[in-house]
Amino acid sequence: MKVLVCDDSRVMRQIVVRTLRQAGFEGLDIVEATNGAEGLDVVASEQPDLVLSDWNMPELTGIDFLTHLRARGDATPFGFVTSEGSSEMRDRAAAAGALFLIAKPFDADTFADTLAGVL
Amino acid sequence: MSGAVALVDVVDAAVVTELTQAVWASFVDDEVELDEAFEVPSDADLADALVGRIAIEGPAAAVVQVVLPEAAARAAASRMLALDPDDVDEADVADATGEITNMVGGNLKAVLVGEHRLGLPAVTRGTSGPRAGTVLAPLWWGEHLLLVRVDALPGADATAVPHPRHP
Repeated sequence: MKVLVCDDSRVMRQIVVRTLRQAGFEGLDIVEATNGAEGLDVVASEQPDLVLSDWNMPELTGIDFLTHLRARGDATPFGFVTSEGSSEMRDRAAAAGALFLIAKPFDADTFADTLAGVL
Repeated sequence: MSGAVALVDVVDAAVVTELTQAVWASFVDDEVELDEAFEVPSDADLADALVGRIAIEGPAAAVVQVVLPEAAARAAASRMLALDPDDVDEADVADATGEITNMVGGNLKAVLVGEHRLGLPAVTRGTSGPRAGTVLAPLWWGEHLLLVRVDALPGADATAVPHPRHP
């Protein structure tokens, strides 16, 4: 399984990758992007099985990243990992086609529960 | 939902402490505690501090600042990256400070009602001032001081009321 981790923070990309491992998802092929625009390119070139994306990023936000993906007919499973977990954000994410939204801070149990049916 | 409530009525040092503790417990692996007997540090004490800032736009507009002296910021970054402190570079220290600021700001936004938008975090070094503000939470992480300051922006009114976080 290949997972794209998209976040403008290197620290947070590292934490997400480590938490995936701690949640029991071993042996994943991880690819990374630093914003939504780069994420679009990486999805096209790497064809990941799942995208885990931050919401607030320079260049292209996570929600715009998802919208662009769906607009070009790409149905790659997509979930947000973001510091904003309000019901409004969750509604926007779901309406745009996201499978889930994990709010920061998170722990390995949250990843295990949320990603159990995805990875 | 009734009554106009100012940011200062929604957010106090206890709320800021709780949000910061959640971030710390998840990613820095230790707890921070509110300092009831806080003594204002000197300019020299904060000369090398990293200052993360993030704006919340909306009816309860505010700026959140997280001030971490160099040693605290480096120690936090090393925990977040699971690296030895000597292997953490300047960019990582700034990145970690920005991400901590982002999480505290994002979680603070979540306690406000109404349409609010979170900006992107910016990190600078050195400070001569953020030791007071609309709300100030002086916190200790072991031997390390960290200050989380929230300022209501001019024009923010205050129609934002808190979510029932503890029903």
